[in-house]
Amino acid sequence: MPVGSEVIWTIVSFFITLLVFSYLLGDNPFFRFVSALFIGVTAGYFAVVIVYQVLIARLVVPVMQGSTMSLVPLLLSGLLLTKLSPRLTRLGGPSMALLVGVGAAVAVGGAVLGTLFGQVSGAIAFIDITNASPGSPFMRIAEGVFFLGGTLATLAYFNFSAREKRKHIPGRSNLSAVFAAIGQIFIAITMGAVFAGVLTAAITALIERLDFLINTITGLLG
Amino acid sequence: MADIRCLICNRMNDASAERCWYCNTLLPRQGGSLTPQEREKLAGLRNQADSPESEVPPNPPEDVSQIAQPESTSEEIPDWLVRVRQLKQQDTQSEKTEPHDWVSEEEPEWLRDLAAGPVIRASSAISADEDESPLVNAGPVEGSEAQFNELNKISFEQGEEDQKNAEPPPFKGDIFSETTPAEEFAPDITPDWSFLSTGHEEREPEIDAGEVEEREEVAHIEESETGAGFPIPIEDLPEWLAVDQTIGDEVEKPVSEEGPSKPAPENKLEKAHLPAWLASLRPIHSVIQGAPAPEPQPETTDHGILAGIQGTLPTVEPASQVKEPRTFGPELRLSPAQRRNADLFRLLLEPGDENPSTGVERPVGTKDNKVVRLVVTLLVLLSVLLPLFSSAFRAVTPQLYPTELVDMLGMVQSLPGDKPVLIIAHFEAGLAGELDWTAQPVLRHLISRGVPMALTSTNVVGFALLQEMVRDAVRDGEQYSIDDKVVELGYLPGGTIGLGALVQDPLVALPFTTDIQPVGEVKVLQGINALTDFGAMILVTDNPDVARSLIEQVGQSSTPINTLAVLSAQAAPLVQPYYASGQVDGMVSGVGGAMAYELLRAVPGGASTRFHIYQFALLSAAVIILVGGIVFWMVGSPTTRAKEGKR
Repeated sequence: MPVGSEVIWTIVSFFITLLVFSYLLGDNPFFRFVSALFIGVTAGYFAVVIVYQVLIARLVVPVMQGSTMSLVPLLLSGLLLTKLSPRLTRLGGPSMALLVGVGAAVAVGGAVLGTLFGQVSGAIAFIDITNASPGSPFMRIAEGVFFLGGTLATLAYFNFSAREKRKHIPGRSNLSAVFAAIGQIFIAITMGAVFAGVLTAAITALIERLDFLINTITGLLG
Repeated sequence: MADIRCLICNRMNDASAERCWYCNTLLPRQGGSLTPQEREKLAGLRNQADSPESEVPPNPPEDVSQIAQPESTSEEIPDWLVRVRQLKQQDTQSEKTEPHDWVSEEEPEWLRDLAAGPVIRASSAISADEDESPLVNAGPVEGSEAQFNELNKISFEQGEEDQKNAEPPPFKGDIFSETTPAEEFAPDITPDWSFLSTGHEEREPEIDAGEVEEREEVAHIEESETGAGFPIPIEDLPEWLAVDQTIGDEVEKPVSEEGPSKPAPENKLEKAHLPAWLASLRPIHSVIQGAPAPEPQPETTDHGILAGIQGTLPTVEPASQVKEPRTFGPELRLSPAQRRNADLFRLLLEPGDENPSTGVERPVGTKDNKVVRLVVTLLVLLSVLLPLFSSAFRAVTPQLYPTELVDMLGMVQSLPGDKPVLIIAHFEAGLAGELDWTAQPVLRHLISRGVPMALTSTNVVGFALLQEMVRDAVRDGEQYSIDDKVVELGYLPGGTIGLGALVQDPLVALPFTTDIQPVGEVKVLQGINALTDFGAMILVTDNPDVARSLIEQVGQSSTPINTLAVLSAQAAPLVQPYYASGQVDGMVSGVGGAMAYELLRAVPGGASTRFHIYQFALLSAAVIILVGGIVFWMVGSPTTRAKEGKR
């Protein structure tokens, strides 16, 4: 990339960053302009990528090369376009059914085999003494029990069913209430960690932008 | 041709008519003669007229003699007149003071039933007592022509009085009975439903005088039984109809009390038993005595093309059919059931709150919020800018490194140099700066080892950002060529489905490069037939859901692949369990992880040079949060104060 164009793009990025920061003073036309600019550029780039990297690469080229299997997605895509017309919207049903069905199957299968079984096996691994791992086996068992207890307590907190009692407000049983309280602590810690991560990411982005502004100013001023 | 006067109703009829147009009585033929019975009847009437109690007017009109010729009456007497005379004789022989309506013999049965209404009967009784006609009061009739002439005179006078009225008297159901003032203002005739009984149906059309009396007695019995002469027993009526019947009783009571009462003999006729469906079909005006039947008023529209035309269906204005579209405001409206469920849910979450709120609280914005936000903004900016310009701030480097980071470093370090690494990106431009700092140490490590890279992305923007990252990383590399070592596979569509396809067969999921070159022809990807043929798979993302989806899809594969992750700090906590379970072999997250990676490699980079800013800004943010929480806990937040002010 020539240096001239890089300088130009740096200056453009500098002013656009300033316009974004203008939102600190409240909503204003500059911020709205930048927002619209980003949305427009993103949409245009998205369309170009879809045409060149999806339609041409995965549909047109295989069809031109004589791939008959590529006619199936072509047909399904054509049927999906009928969703635009209220009269022909039924024709797009098979395509939508295929998308939803395959998507649900993939997601459910992945959730069961990938997350559920994976997490259960991971929790069991903490208690497995035979597993060679650094540290004391008792500490590892204690850690496993802590993980298991935290998991059960968290699950107990999300048990919102209550038995109806006469002249009493329905609520959890005592045992369930204790587990729910412990689970509430675990959930609070998790939410705190997530919030800390979001805050960290936001502060890092702020640092990166301010660093860019200062570097640009110092670079332009010499 | 001269008209003929009816002997019964005293109305003039055409000379050619054989029967009276008004009462259907056989008219006397002109020039005809009366039968002996007729002559006896007329003689009796004449004697009655000659008596001093009679009120016969002295001067009959001249044409009376022309209408009824005395000679003609003596020749032929009709049968009906014979019966009339017989009845009158029986009446005079009996000692009853009640007058007998001898004319009623000629009325048909249906007309008698109609006339059997209690009101009319009672009023007829009153009129019979108070306003007796000369005909009724006439004594035994002897057959003489003079008496017949007198009778004609009386009839003529009454006919003149009728003719003085401009309009003919309205039809009242009993055309044989004389009109009395009481009848004029009496309520309308109520139809008698008693004809529905079998006893009435089996009656013979001709009955004698004895049967006439018997009928009158039966009628009185029915009146006494039903209380107001109602033809149907009240116990057979439905409830709603019985109530109306009592109303009818109240209306009729003063009239019936004035009428003569007869001793009620034994029941001679069975009560009428109406089926339920027929009783329900009875019109309401037949039950309420004196209430005229409401006539349906044809509806008339005053607008539209049918305006002014009666009997048309009402038209609906087009404006009334246009419904304004329902608008929903920003306020959340809850039904009582939803509110109860929400309170119950809140009670489960907050057991100590015995008084759950009954409504949804609106967000409150005040000026204080803006001031607080501005102060916090300035503090955060200062916490970033101060370390940037000042060299007094130094970073506190960690002495312990997380295991996932160490594993990540060891995994990259152990990658074979001939196998490409598949880098999958999914992140937005907002966090590109953070991910750039985080990914740069890993990319540079790969470049330093000369590991080929295949780039793809599950979102469109992510691929462009990833390209820029790799270019920045390669820029510092001396012997690493992008054209030879990096393959740009472009955008991977389909989301989770695309990731699943990639795990199953990467060459099918990503058949071409961004230059529309088949992946099988690319030098870097020679020997790649499955995902496990890659040296490792590195995920660069700021979205934990994408990381979870990819880990799940990889977990379904029978042959595992080394899975590494370069994550934003906001995604790291949710991906951490997958590392703990062994599904992720190593990960780097945030600026802290990048700085640690650089420290481990002993190659400083962008994360290490800015880590002190990062630390100070994070510390400042933590202090701001802590102080703000304490202040708001002591004073109360502006939002809470605004809510309390509202209450």
